[in-house]
Amino acid sequence: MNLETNAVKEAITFLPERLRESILGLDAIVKNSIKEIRIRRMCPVAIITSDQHLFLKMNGTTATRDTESNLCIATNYDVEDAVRRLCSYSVHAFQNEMKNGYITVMGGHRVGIAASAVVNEKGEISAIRNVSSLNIRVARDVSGAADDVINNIFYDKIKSVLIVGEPSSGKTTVLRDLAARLSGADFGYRRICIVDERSEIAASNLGINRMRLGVGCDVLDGYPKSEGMMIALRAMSPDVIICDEIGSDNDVFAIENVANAGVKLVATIHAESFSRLTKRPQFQRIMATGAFDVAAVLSGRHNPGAVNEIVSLRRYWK
Amino acid sequence: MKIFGAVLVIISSYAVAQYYILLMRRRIKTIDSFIKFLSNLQTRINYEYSHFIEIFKDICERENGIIADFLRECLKEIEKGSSLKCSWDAGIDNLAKQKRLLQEDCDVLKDFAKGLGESDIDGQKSNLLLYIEILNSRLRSAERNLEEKSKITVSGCVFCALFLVVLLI
Repeated sequence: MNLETNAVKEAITFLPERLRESILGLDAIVKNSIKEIRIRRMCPVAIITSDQHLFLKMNGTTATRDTESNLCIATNYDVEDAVRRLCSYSVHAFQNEMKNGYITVMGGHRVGIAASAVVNEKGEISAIRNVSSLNIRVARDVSGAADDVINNIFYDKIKSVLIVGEPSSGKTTVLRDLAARLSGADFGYRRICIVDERSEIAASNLGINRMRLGVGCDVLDGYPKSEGMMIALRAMSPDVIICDEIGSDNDVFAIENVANAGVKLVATIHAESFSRLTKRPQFQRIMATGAFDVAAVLSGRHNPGAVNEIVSLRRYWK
Repeated sequence: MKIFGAVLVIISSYAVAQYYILLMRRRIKTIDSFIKFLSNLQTRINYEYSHFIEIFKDICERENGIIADFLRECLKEIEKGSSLKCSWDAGIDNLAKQKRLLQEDCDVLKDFAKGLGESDIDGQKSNLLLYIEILNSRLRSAERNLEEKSKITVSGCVFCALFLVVLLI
């Protein structure tokens, strides 16, 4: 069994045996290209690969149309049982993650949850109930994913980089490989601190990083980004801070502090293209901090990890 | 020969009485262990937000005794694919088979497992608090039972034996 298949196996451990066996019974080529597995109540289980949308069949094969016979339908029990197992029979331990709409499982695979929200009197989501669908995103540790970024941006010195990309464009994979490379011998064993709010970058479990990271990486696992950045700055004296999906007002305050302390920052942000990103108010706020030197815009979900465009951000500083 | 037989009858009835007392003590010890376990769970979820499987594994690694054995059994069942509730119930039934618990104690512990891990932190704390209280009251009644019945059981069995001896002689 190769590493790719192991990633799928790891990502679906919480599924009921019936579904698990059917997925693991898939042809190795399909299994190794799975990007997402979508489970919806009373609907056929969908398998999304890099170039296809397939439906799982009971006999461990796939269909291209939902009208075909013998499709593997996720029952109410399947979804409920999967959710119980997903949170290790302990909703209380995952209540914040569930409110945020995802749980990260061992191996850094993110499981998105669609459910009915319970809203409190302040208008905030206090809990969720009646989970209707799950989206399992298979995380892969891709060595060399950051080649484009390193060759085009870090060729002379370490800079602060904002990695821009749409969902599934490989932002986290690039970030993970970047952490491994920057903390390795090629860059003189830089002190890298990863603020891993969603446990996706390092996939830390019981203090052990399940993903391949360099020897010089310290991981603040589960910390909210803004607090994590401040703690990293105060406690870990890093050369570079790495974090995923920035954007909130609290993040901006922490980014400003990181920039003022002279520490480099590598972070990701969601956007379809750079031109669209520049129109967002949160981009203006982030640029006002003067923290980022360069933006690396990823190609998209069809070519994960590849850099499409590199933009100098100095002219956007205010 | 008759004296030997009489002594044997008395000794066996005394042993039967002691066995019943042992069962009562065993039940007290089991309930007490569950109360301590539930308090431990309360602390762990309150301060660490740990999930139950993690706590169970930790207890199994660090401790020995009734609860650790019970949790080992539960974890084995969960690994085989059973749900937490089913594994818990099977473990409780096993304790009842070993005569460590009465059927009523089993029902209380099975009821407790219905809410285990099914709600948020406040829900879990209330569930634990409620069942710690219920188990405490069962413990108190079991202790009272032991105090009241131990002497009666011993003397009852010995008198029965003496009566049997007199009758046979």
